[in-house]
Amino acid sequence: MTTKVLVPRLGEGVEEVTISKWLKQEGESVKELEALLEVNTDKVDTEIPSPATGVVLKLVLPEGTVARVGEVLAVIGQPGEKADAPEAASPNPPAVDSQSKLPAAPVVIHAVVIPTGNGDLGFVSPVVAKMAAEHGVDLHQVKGTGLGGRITKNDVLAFIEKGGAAQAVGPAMAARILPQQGDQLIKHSIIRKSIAEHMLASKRISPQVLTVMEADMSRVVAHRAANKETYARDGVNLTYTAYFVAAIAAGLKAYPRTNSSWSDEGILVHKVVNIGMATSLGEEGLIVPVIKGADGLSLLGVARAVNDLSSKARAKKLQPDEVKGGTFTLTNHGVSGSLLAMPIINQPQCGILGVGAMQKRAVVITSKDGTGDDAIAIRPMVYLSFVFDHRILDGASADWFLVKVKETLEVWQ
Amino acid sequence: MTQPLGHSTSGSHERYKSPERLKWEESFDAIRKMREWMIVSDVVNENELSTWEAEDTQDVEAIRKSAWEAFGRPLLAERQQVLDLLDKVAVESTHADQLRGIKGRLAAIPSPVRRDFHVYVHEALRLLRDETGFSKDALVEWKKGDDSRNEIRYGSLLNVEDRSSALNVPEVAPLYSDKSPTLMGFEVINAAFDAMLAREPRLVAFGEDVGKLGDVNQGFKGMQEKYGALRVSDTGIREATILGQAIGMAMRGLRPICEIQYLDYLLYALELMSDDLATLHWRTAGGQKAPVIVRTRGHRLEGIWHSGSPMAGIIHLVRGMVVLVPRDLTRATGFYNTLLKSDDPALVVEVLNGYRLKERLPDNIGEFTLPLGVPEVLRAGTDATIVTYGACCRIALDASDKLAKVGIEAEVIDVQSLLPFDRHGAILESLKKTSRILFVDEDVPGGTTAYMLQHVLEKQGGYAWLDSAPRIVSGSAHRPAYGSDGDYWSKPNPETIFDAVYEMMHEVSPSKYPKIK
Repeated sequence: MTTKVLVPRLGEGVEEVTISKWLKQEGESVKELEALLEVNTDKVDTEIPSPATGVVLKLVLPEGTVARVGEVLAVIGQPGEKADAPEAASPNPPAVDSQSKLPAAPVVIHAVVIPTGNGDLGFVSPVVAKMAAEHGVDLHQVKGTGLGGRITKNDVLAFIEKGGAAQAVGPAMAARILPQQGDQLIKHSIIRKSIAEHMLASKRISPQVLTVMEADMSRVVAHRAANKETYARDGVNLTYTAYFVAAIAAGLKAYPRTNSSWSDEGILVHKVVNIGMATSLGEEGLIVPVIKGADGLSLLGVARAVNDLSSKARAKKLQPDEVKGGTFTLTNHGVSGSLLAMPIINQPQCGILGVGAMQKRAVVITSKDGTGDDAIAIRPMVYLSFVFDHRILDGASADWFLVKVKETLEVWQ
Repeated sequence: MTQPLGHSTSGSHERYKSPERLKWEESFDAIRKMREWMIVSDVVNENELSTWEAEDTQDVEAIRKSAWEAFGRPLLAERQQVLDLLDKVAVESTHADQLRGIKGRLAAIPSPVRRDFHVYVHEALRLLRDETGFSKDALVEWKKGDDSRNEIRYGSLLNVEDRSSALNVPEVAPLYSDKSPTLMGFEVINAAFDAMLAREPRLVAFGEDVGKLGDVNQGFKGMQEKYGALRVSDTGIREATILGQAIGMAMRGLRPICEIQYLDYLLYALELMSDDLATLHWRTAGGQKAPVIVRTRGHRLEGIWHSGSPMAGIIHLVRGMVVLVPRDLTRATGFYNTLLKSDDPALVVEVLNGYRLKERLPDNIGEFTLPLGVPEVLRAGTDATIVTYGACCRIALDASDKLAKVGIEAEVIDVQSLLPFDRHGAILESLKKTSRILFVDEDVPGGTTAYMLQHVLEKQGGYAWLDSAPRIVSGSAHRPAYGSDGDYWSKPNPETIFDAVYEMMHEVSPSKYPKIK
């Protein structure tokens, strides 16, 4: 009598399997329940045990085949039997326990393995679901050793013990770095960890796009030269940063959509304009104090706020309230010489403006006297690198904002 | 005239008496006849009578009105509270019109009752589910408070709750020493009853064969001789009377232990236990108690009339009583000692096949107590939890030995107490460890095993800890069949318990636990 090996149903909704590897060849003997072949379904590899003891008479489907549930994989029988000999009445490798009829014996109710609607994962028991949620385990990564490849509690425990529990989004594919002779491990400070988390998270949260324009700062330079001393008498150091903050404020007022945050319910346009100022703390990292209500401040007010927050930042005297509530951020990456950059958005803001180093460049000026004559002039130029959340803004709307910033700077008086 | 309504409106005399008979009853009404006689005998004259009757009618009507108002006043005040709350919510709500509609309908009810408030508040809260606010919070608070008040009005005091509750009896562990003798179960309970009768002068024990014979398993051996026929006595074969006497004695301050010879016969007394004994404390709001202890033995003789275990049938009819299922006579003693220190009415079911098993006699047989509603772990294990009670404890342990030989370590828990049941979640703690559970008993399918399963999975939240589907091994739906073979096939045995656990383990790890059949 021969026994046909059929493709079992390994989980609810799993209609086909790919034959990964035959563990026995034709002519080899095999015992019942001994592993006969390996199959792959979506993401799980499972062994199919042999339903009978005997000799593998025929391997019907080769490795790599995609077979449907119920198809014949192989035939097992006695040595010398023909593969198409009459079949034994006994059933096939059990995948999912079928409900037995009640025996005449003491009433024992056979449990049906009830698959939940978990698609390719098969039956997920309550405690498995609970543990997966608690430990951030992606069950698709867990090898199930229960009947039919079912993931059991012990499987999840084993997975967690091997350090498989993933953090928040997706499996971590961190490269294993082996320390070499002479390497030095600098332990993470709280700031470093915090920056790392924030930056990584920001990149995962929004699709960020860079658009760059350059601004002619001559008018600003002139204005500053003319007013620096007056401001100094008021105790205020007039820096270029103040101008950039004011220009951003103008841009945000003109294009309120840039002063917003993405939410599932809609785009939340903020009423207040609070501009954060990324401030370097040297090797220790950076911090972003916030100028509240920047749209309502005069240049003097902005400059004063910039001074105040910067010195507090350097002295590490910033209050928690002073680093919260920002709706947009300015990063002055130019102070260290950088011309152009692609900063990372400070979530949950819509955008961040990076300002590069001011550099005298030769630029072409077209005369406005109607002749359209071009001339070369030397102007203090600065690249404005605007990174925006492409869920909220598109190229065009992002550029409107950036143009406004540029123009505010270029016509300053 | 004989009250025409009789027991109820469905049984009105007018439905079956002839018009002639009814007319005759009316004209020969005793009060009417008395009135006529009083006039004829010059005791009083018609005028006087009529005047008095008119005054009396008025008085009664006035009293009726005032009683009705007294009943209604607090209800009207409560309704006003609800109407005010609804008003406030309507001011802020987008559903203002509908809320005012609800308010209007509630206000229009001429004689509102509490149920009305809740129906309308519930309707309002359904409407307000998408809103938040202080006035909605106030409405929710009102409902919560009123729910609690009504719970107390209608649902409290099912069990004894004051300091005389069995739950307040401090636990005293049994003490053993080198001198503690090993006796047979019946000798242990005999020593226990001896100690009880000695220390508790209000204790009287009676039942069929309890007096002269000292009960069919010798638990009361020598007690009638020692304490007299007034304290330890025989009754006729009438279970209802046995219960009735016990209830009467207990209500009057005695502490009766009344015995029903076999658990199967409890059904003869079950009506009294359910209607009269179990409801007493609740229906009198704790005003009356009857601390009866019903002693019986059961689960395990053989045959259709002597080995039944209809525990679910029993517990569902006697909510308000304590129902205990000690697995041996030491445990039974601990329970009796606890019960005699408290006022709860209780049923104690001793295991019939335990009287000749060996147990050590605790040195403090008269003092030790066993808390109610606390299971005991008989065998520790990590693979599966087996929950059971009574005679099935030994069977489960037998099955566990067989399981151990194939590499499965089962944890066996003796529930010990069905009402109250596992008060501190001991079974849940075990389930957290094993994630697999099997409930075993000798009751019918869907009986006490289902009761325990619902309690653990739903009330204790055990569902979230399951890695395998929960299983049940129970007795058969039919009564236990005849002979030892019949008994084997009508109840759980080590093989069926083994199979149930093994099947669970096979599903979890088919390679480690290959199918046996």
